[in-house]
Amino acid sequence: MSNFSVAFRESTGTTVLVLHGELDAHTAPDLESAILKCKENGQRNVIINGADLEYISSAGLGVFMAFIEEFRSLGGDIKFAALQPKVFNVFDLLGFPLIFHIVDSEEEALELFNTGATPT
Amino acid sequence: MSGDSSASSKYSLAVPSATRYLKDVRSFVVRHGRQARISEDVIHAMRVAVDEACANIIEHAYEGRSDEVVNIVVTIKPDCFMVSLRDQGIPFNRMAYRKPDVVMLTQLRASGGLGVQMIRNLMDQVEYISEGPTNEIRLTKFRQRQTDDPR
Repeated sequence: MSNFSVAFRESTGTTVLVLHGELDAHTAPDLESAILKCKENGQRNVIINGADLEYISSAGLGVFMAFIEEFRSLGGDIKFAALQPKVFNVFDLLGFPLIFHIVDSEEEALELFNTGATPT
Repeated sequence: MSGDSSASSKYSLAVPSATRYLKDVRSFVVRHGRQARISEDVIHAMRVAVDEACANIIEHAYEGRSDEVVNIVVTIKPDCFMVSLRDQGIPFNRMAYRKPDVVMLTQLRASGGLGVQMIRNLMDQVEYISEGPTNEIRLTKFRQRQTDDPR
């Protein structure tokens, strides 16, 4: 049984992917499928809610790295909200907070979509 | 598995070379780190580094074959927390390795190439040892560098 799951939620024109469990080289394809589904459905604004994501390895980061430019080139983005400190630290290790928009809450991420802000 | 009460304790685990066992490898490292009262920050660093090393062995050394074996040994010493991973696959070519540029990788929409740098950023020492057909990566965190260790 997989120790990772993705739930979808719509929030004022934005798709929220609620991640749960451990994201590693084994479970990363599940995340890839979820993001592909967003893409195929024409959803361009995606928020990753990481409140219940307990673990991430570079395989998980790699999925975001592979897709984020594509969403941005279509006028959207993938933004990250409510990451647990240990998960944020993994993003931080290689400098991803400079490339990805990472904020404390889903509401903040929604606000960033509304204002059209991009990472500095 | 084995352990002793002298200055050094060792615990070993062998898993098939398939990614579904990565969570078992992580649990093994966390369990023995906690038993040895290593700080949670150091345990987390080791958990990520071991996961990355094991995933690299599966993907690169064994080229995705799931019928091989990865041997993991956790060593607890008074001065360090060490995990070694051994395989009999293709050795890691350190000479060909280049530090990844994450901005460029993102622009290229790459999905990999981060694991080795992640390991190097997390560990105090990373050693690669080859003996005959066996490759070993040895990951070390030194305990005196911890701030919340009661020792």
